[in-house]
Amino acid sequence: MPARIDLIQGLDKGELGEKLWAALTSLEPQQVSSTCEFPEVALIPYRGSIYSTPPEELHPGLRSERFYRREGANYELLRDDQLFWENLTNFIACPAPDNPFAISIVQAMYGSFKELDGVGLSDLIYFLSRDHTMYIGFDRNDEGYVRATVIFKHTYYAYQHMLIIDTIADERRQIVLEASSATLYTHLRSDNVRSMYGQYIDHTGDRIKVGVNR
Amino acid sequence: MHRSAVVRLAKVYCLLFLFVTPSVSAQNRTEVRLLGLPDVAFQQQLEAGASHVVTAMNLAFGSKTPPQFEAPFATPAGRDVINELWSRAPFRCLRTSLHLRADYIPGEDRYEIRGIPLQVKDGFGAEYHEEGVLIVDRSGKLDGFKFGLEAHRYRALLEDRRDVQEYAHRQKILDFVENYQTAYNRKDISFIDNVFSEHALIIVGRVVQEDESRGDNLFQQLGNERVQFIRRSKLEYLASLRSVFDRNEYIEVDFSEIEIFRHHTREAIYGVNLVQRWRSYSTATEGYRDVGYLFLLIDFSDETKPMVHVRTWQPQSLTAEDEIIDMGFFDLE
Repeated sequence: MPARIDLIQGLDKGELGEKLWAALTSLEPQQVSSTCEFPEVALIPYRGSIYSTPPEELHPGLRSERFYRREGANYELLRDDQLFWENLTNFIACPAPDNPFAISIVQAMYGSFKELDGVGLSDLIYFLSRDHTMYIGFDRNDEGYVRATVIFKHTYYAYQHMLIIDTIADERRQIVLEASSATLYTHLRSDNVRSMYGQYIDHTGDRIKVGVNR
Repeated sequence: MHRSAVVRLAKVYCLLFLFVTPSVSAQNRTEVRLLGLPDVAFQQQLEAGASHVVTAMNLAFGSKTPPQFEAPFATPAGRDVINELWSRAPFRCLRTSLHLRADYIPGEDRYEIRGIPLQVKDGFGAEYHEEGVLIVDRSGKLDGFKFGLEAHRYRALLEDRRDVQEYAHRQKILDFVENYQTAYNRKDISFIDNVFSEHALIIVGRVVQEDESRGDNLFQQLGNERVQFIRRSKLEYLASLRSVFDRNEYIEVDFSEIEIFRHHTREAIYGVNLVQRWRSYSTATEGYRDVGYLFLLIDFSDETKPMVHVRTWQPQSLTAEDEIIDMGFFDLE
């Protein structure tokens, strides 16, 4: 039997989502930064006095590293507005305990979206990152602000969660904004995927006409 | 020494002084020329300010003292930002001339001059490259400074961004496909009703004997003569499905070999090909199972409400690889 969480737990995707929603909405506030202060892996030079955890790439643009500044013989978690992208990565991966980042988060459920009432972004990220490898990437939303995509990958059970944090930063002004919303997609299987980027060619014979206007 | 020789030597020293003094100065001086400004007088004002600021950094790097900016060229805030960065790691520009753009930032009524190549020396003596960004107010004074991204890294980031966006989009499609699969396992006719468009094209391949199939094939070109393709409306399909759900106590549908395709011209339209394994049981019958190729054409223009416009099913055992229906079989209108 493949190591599939739905088979092992006897729950379908919808039920898994409900179970996670219940766990998240009953979270106690966490000591969110503790996992980032003392990395358990050897750091590698990034540039100048900045070091990073060994970078691992899930997909182009989705990376796992965190950034640290060497101060003498010690390494401190990087918190520096001048290093915008590195700072933003740490801002998400290692939320500061005094920044609960309370925003509206919804979870994509089976057939609907459900509010994660009272769940802080920092707590959610901390909770999910404990059992998963976290990858962070950035793109831009319709308003031109930086949007973060965070993947929480569970290697053994071959699934991942995806958190999209909208309106997180203004790249031009290099500042982190108050995020307006975030959406969590859960239990996305990867073991049943042949290709996420398939290529097709138009059929040379007669083609069937389909109306796609809603 | 002969007097004429002294005069000649003095002339040489004078010439050396004339040439050497400006060249020492030129080592530290960086002239900034700007593009993208409509007003020539303002352009010259910004150029003078930017040149002064970068040159002050260079002089400070050589003398190991904080940069000194003359009042007309920097606000107190601008001076503080640079001094704060300087205290951690000094920097200089090794280029004597730069041709850069000044971009106006409408929300802040300021200009950004990006792309200043800087050598930064950290506390351990290591030097590395950074791109400096000068922030200049409307009066031409330095009002801020930051390290930006080098141009090639910036381009790579923009490319990665498109990748991240598309990756996230395809994960959402996967999420939808898995929920769609769950709907069959739950016998949730309401979910399926909601996701099919009212005029959805539904094609079901039915395995028939050769005699039975003669003359009946709706889409003869799509399959071999032992598969009869039946076209159904959404209402007909849902009625048939409801009957199957009612007849069976247990239905197990599993999707595998999922492939996602984006339409060549319609960005919100995606095709999904997959292998569907179907098993159903009831106490009254022996149960039923089949394996088939499923194709879904899905409109994601509203990500919160994806819509299925086409669903086709072909029996796997009677369908050659090159006969599998995919997005290339359809013209969108």
